[in-house]
Amino acid sequence: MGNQRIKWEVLNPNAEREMVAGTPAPRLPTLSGKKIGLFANGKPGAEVVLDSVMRLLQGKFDNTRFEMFPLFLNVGEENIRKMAACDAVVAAIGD
Amino acid sequence: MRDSIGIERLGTPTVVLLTEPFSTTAKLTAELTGLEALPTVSIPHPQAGLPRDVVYQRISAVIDDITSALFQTPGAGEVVAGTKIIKKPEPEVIVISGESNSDALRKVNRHFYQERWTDGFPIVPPTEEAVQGMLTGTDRDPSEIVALIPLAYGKATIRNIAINCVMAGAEPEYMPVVIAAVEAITDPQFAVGVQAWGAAGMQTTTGPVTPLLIVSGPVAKDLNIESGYGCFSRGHQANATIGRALRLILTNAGGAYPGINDMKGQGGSQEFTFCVAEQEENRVYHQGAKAWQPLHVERGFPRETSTVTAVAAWPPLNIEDFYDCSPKILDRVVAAISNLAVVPYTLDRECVLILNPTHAECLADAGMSKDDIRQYVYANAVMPWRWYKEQYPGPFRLQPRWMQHIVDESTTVHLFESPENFHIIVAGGPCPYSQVVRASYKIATKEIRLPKK
Repeated sequence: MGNQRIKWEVLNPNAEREMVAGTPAPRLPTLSGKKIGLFANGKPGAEVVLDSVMRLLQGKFDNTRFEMFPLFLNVGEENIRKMAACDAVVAAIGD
Repeated sequence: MRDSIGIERLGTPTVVLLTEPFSTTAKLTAELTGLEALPTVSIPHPQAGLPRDVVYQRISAVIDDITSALFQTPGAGEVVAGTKIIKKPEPEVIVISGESNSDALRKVNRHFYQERWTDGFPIVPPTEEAVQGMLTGTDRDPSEIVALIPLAYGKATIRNIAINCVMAGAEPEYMPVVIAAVEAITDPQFAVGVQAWGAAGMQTTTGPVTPLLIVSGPVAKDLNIESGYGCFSRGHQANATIGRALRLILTNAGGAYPGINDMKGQGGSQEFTFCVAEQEENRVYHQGAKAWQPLHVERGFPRETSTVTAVAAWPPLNIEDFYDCSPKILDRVVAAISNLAVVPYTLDRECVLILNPTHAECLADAGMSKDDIRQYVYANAVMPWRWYKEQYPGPFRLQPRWMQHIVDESTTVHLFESPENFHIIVAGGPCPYSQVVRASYKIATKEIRLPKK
């Protein structure tokens, strides 16, 4: 170990963070008859991914409606509220 | 992720599909924003550019995971919803022992490197004494929160900025410049545009985007921020450490780590530091009726004020012109920004032309104002629609609506929405080489507030 005669105290360069804890929203018993928001992050692949999701869900559930939200990151409170008005949302990061 | 968290908080179940390299950053973002249980489903990377039938097969393989995420309640965690959580850096003080000063220095650097707190280069240990010395460079309260830095939205207080400035090897008098740089990259103007991602996008993107800082006004000379020969090269302490301090703040207050949640595929060496001063003493800024205005004056600040302009910069493109003193210099700029390798998929992005004195003086002597240069570059940075469409097959919603209704494929489209998208500064030594830096979104300018003492 040697003679550890030098002692330096240095400061942590990370920053304090503050957040509010949340719990997940209640889940659905089925997607039949529900409106699903499809949220694309603005990258070229996102809408293609969500198009596939829509087609597959149409094959599995009856009377499911869809609305595409071709938005980007930091979409703003108004768009978040619009998407939250759906019964569920599938978001895709399409990189 | 943050938007999905916002939707969950309003009571609507969500699931996020993301490609595998983004899984860690997604979970980190969820943890950092108090909703660790937000469900995600990973799919192979990349998705962009794949045939639709391939994407369909990939989504088929995970469709049951997607529906399960909407049916089954994820674990709620132990913390009661609505509880304010404050996470302080732990430990606040790190004690390092060594056999000698050099041994202790080596151990400090090894510890900081292993914790991912450095840029890979050795740092100056941020002792309390050193930080107190750095704080003499500003008269702002050390507890003042300058900004919240994404991705972790850590509080970049004056004190936290000082700690990272010490690590970078900055001088105390650089503090006001670094503080203004932090303000600029977190200003809402920095996130204006079709892809309004701002600093958060810059921290996590796969593209090699990093802040370029342009210092204008008297403080550039006072602090010896280089605007002449080698202004982007090695050997200039102010340029090197101001840019480096900002990068360390982005890493340590922003919680962005290469390959973990900062997904730059290759990145670039300008991430270490990218800072320059505008060469306002050049005669183009002072001669004749068409004298060029400094960048900060064009952006509404008095000439005697000093500012930092932040640019979400892609790697610089070299413009080579051997003293052909004519607008042909600008044809090379046009060629650099309107070829298929760099075509922007949103037209609202901006560009900074960094003209060396030779090129700048040639253009000014030919009677060109900055507005003349802007207009020339804008008018000529065009591309046939069919070429543009091949790069970005539609309907691609980031394009303006008028572009989506083009019928004649021989139509020529402007690659930038306005001449105002172009900004021009003079920097460097006389030579045949200039640079153009494309920005991911809008630039932002903040005043450098010097201490009153």
